Amino acid sequence: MGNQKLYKGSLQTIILKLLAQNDKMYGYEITQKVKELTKGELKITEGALYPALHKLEAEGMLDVEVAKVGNRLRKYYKLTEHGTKETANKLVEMQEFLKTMQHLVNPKFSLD
Amino acid sequence: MEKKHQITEKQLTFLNRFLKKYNFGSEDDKVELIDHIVLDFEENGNGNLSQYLSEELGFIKKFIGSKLKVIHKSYRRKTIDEAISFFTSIKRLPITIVVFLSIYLLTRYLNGTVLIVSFCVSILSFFIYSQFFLNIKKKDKKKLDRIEYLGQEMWLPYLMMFFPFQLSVTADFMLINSVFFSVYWFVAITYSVAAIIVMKKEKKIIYQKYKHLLN
Repeated sequence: MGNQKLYKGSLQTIILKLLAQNDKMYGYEITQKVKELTKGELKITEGALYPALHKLEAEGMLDVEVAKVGNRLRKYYKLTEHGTKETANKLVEMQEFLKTMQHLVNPKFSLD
Repeated sequence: MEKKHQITEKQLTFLNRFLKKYNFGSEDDKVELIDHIVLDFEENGNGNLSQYLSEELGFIKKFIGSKLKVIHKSYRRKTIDEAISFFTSIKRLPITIVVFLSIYLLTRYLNGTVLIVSFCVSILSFFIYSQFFLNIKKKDKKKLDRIEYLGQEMWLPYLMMFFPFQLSVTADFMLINSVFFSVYWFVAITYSVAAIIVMKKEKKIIYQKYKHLLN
């Protein structure tokens, strides 16, 4: 497993990107999806995921929807209009960041 | 997601009672917490729910604590942004100037007692309006923790009203220095109005977003 600290600053972008690809998701589903996509390389802990989800919701980027699943309720998150715009911005920022990092750690190799 | 165990009705009742007994969050928090705990327990637990809960106690406490912090911070940020907009929005700027000039004229021409009474009445009227006309019913506060924090920003101007009169030195300084008094009064009024605007907006959002909990 890679250094989890390196992913820390990207958590919001990861959540937004996943929600942009999947109409709506619940907390546990997000942790499992990330684990599956990264083949276990990245594990989002619940202690980091929920504060990030609540922050995005408070900032108006996520909307919530509660649905009955079996014998209990489930809270789903989905992107708002503002969240959709912000996802695009954050992805551009992320790509810029990756390019810069690439230049720094491996000057001969470029993503361009 | 592979399930190792299936949570029983008895365990689900135990979980509900556990969260209720230790007063872990509002109904809104419980929806999310219960769903997460059940899914994780079914996938990673060893079938013993009490043991699982004792291991996850740190997460449960952090879940509630961090959520309250986020809500509190977000209301404060929104109120500050709203207050700043009185100076940056071209639509609002003329009103801001008129209000400041009116306050300045009052501090210049009113005598000490009338001035203090006017200052307190103006702040108090915003405070009373927010607490009695904009707050959501008490019973709903248990359902949604963001309601608990809704009117909290109004306490800052309320405290600002008492602060200068705790010491006679500060009260005398304010009465002599009309510019300082008008700026102080103006900041308290601006913050009150900003907090009221945020309360109104958030109340509307709460009723739209969380109607499943509040109806």
